[in-house]
Amino acid sequence: MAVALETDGLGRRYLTNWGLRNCSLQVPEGSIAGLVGPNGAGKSTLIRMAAGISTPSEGTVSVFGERVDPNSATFLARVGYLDQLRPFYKHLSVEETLEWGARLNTSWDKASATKWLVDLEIPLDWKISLLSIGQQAQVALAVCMGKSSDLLLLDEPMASLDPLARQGVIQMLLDSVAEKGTTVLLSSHIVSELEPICDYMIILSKSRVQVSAPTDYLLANHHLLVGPHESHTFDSVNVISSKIAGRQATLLVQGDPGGLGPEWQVISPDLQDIVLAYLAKPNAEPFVPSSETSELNEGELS
Amino acid sequence: MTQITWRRYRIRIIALSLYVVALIVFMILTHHAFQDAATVCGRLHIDVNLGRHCNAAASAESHGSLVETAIALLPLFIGFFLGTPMVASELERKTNRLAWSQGITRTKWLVRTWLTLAIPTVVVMSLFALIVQWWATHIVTSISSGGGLIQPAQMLISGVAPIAFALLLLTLGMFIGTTVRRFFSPYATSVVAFVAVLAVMQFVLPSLAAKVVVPTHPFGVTHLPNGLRSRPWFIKSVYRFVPGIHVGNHLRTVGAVLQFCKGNPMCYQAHGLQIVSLYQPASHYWVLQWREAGIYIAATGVLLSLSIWSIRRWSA
Repeated sequence: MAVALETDGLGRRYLTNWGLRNCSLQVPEGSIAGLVGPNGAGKSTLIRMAAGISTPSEGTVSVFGERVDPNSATFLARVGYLDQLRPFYKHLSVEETLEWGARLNTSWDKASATKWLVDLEIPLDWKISLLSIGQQAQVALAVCMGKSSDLLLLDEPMASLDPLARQGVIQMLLDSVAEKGTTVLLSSHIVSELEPICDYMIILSKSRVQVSAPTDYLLANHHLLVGPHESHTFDSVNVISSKIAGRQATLLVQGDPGGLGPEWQVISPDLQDIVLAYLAKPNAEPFVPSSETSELNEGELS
Repeated sequence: MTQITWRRYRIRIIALSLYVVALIVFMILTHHAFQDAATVCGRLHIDVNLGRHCNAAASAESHGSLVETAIALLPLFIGFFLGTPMVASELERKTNRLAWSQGITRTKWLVRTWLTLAIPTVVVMSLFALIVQWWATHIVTSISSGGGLIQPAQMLISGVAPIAFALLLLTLGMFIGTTVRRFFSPYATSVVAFVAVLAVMQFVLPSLAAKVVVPTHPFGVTHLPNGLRSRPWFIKSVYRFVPGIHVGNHLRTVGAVLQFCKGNPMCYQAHGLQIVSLYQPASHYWVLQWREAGIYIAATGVLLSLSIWSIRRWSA
């Protein structure tokens, strides 16, 4: 598996607090990786370090096998970054912003960026400051996409967008991956939007990695168990979360539930069940299978 | 890049341009005032330099001093309004994150932004320096026949040094904007730093060329040699032992003699002490100007390099 983004023991300290710590993960090339976690989990910190905007306090971060170097033109050409704050030169018009992007980037897809905004009926001759927050978010995405990068690091790209616009962005990302083989890492709070498009999931909680695995492998290795709540001691599975309603217990477990008794009903969870379970249990054992393990098991699944 | 920088600074550039135009207008007006004063006061056979004897000259001198101060402030304004926000406002608005994630390296970004403002600064200041030179020369000539520009007030505004000084403050402002954040305001820091540079250079400048030492008569009369007749820059007077004279008593330091003699000039002379005046002659004007400019340009280079170093290591 070729790796687009790899971190090893990555950490970033802000004065005395760690924004992210001991983060080791790999994002496969050509995948769309979803990055979820509560506020302050370290999502933006991770993305900023991958984009070269922040410097790690410890550990390493590499993009396409090379250590991130924000002063390397080669690195900058390969990576597109959308900041959560959507900073802009607000005195420029939309068109001037796109021209500015064209002058600063060697491979600039002006036609696509312009078409994207025209299709959204965003007036190109308007100053950025006159646009709505949602329109500004679209322009920020257009600038990021116009760069034609191999790796897109998008910090909450769906925020401020209406549901229709979100669908448009999702389609744009899918098209980009299909046509150009782009790798995408995008953070979001809305798991239901990530599920249909993300083939890789990363869950951060309390500044550390809880889950980093291909989505299919994640789904295949987690199960919802519904059964009596009296006693449930399992050897073969790792209980991530449990809910008790009356006499019935619903458990989200990681592992093979094959040897359980007939009183337990096994259900396939959706991604949201898994994410919420891990987020509710920040001290749960991390689920970070090695790339070889997940590839092998995915092969077995298929 | 250039367009962005120009658009960002459009209002400030227009304001500074208007300031320069206003200065030129005032220079022309004060030039006429000095010419008139020279005519009126000259007719009365009174030295125009002694404004207290001639109202026209006093008024012209007063206005001339104001214009000199206003001209001296121009490099500080350039540093404050163009230099300091060059990087500071990008960091403040976080637009650096947008710029630094494009295909251009931080070094190129910084150098291009700096050049976009440094080149016009040098061009405008050079053209302005020609006008100031014309103005200052005519004013000094009006005030004192045979006078030069080697006086603290004129040294500050005339010649090539102000051009380099403006470039230095532009770069110093940028450097401060690059390095000072979070705990201190880069703008307040810039003001302090600019004034500090100005103060230090006023102290250093007289020493950039060998001073002419003129002994003062024990009774306070100084006979200027021929080389200093053309209105030299008086630096200061100091006590010192007459060179070559060995004083064989217990008073071996200037301080000891001063304490012992208690202001008696004859006693000073008896102990080999003299008062000397230090001057920079008018002929040193361009030597001092170029050396001062050289220091500013070297400091600009250092600050630009430090800014690049700092920006390359910058982390959110």
